[in-house]
Amino acid sequence: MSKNRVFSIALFLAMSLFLSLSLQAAELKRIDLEEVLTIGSLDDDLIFQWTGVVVDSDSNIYLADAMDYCLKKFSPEGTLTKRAGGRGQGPGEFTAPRLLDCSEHYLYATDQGILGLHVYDCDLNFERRIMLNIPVSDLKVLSDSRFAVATLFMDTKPAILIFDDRGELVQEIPYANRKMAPMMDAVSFDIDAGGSLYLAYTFQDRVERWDSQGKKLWSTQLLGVKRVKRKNISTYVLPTEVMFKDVELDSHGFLFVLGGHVSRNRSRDVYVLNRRGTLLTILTLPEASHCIHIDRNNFLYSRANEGVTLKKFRMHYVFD
Amino acid sequence: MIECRLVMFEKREKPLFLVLVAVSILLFLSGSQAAEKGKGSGALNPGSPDQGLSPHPLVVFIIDFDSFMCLTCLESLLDFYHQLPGAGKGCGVWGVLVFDASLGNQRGNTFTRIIEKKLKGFMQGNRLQFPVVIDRWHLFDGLGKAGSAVIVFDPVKRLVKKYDFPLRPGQVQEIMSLFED
Repeated sequence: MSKNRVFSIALFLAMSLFLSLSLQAAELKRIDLEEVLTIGSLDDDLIFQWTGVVVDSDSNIYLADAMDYCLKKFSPEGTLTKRAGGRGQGPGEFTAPRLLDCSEHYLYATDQGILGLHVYDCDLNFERRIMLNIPVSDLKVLSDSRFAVATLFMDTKPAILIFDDRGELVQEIPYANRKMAPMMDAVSFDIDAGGSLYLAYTFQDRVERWDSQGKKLWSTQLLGVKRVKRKNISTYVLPTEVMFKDVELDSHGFLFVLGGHVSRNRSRDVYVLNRRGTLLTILTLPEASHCIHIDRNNFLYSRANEGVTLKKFRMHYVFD
Repeated sequence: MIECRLVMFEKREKPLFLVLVAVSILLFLSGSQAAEKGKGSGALNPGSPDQGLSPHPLVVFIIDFDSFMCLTCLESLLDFYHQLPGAGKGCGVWGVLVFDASLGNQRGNTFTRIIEKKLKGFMQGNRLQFPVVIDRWHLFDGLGKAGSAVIVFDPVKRLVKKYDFPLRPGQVQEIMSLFED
């Protein structure tokens, strides 16, 4: 590699870092959403009920559709280019497709009814299944050879688990020092380039940042909930109100947390925090969504029409 | 999944008269639907076999829209359907999709269209070949409060029975025995 090339890359990285830090330092006033793409309407057969979404480096959009048990690939313009899957338990088949994420070369999908991960290439050709003996409640792919999952522990301390591409556990990042009551450890999470872990608790008014060694850096409440409502269900006492549904980082390092049942606009309010856990602004989605996704170009994706439609928004960051 | 579990535990029993009302309406719909040959009135799978009144047992699936939030909760229904003689061809099979009236009131016709589309995906994804009517007027609400169910009518044996999903193994055998004669 020539000196000029090395210098160019170093300059680009330095400028990116500077820009990111500058954006963090400036006071974010609000974020405006501009709808740029809609996929799936009430009249077509493109999407029946999407559950997971991810966007690759070429801006192709992948959806998991729970109703017809398929994965679907759409071009950046929203044209369906490939469909894969179907109902069953054979290779590449689903009983309830749920979460999606991708690395540079592979797409990973979870099934609510089958343990482990389905692995596809970027053209939705089924490659293999990674066996895991735990249910996956959230998934984040870190590279072609690493992925992180959240699970629901009943007997052990809560932790985010990092696996290699053969399903071997390579790291465990605990996010509590003790066992929690049933379901209270349920989280959505994201991981930044430095390995910091951002957690949004499903049934607690808590958003946290932990370092890669399992040290808590900050914890904040966004909803002012004092007491978690619970209900006796069978032999368990379980929480009934979802506080946070999803968490995503954008390329600037802003943290986006989708609120649930307790938010002022139920399942529509997205709380935007900086890296230090300070709430900067709240943006409101046009319709309720079960999750959000932010691609590497900072487009935000969310649900509409109860999962029949996917919306893509350009985010306009407005600073003071 | 979590919300779905909560819904599943909120099951309540329904009065018997609702079953009878539903039977009457269903038979009425069955006749009129057969006459229209699947065109219009919200029935899906218009190309499925004509299933008008006959002396054969009639199986009616009450499909609770909430079950679509937890498709694994419908495994029992799907397994049962695929065990029916000739996957439904040896008996009359119908479906009624019930949904929460308050949701429909909030969103009006759009919500009904959403339901219709999801149902279409569900039928396609599971290769289900029987007609389903969306209960727009909430005539079957009482029957779907406990979640998805199946009602079996046997005009020869003068039998009407309702079973809630998931079915127990003994219940599957009990229903299947009706088709053996």
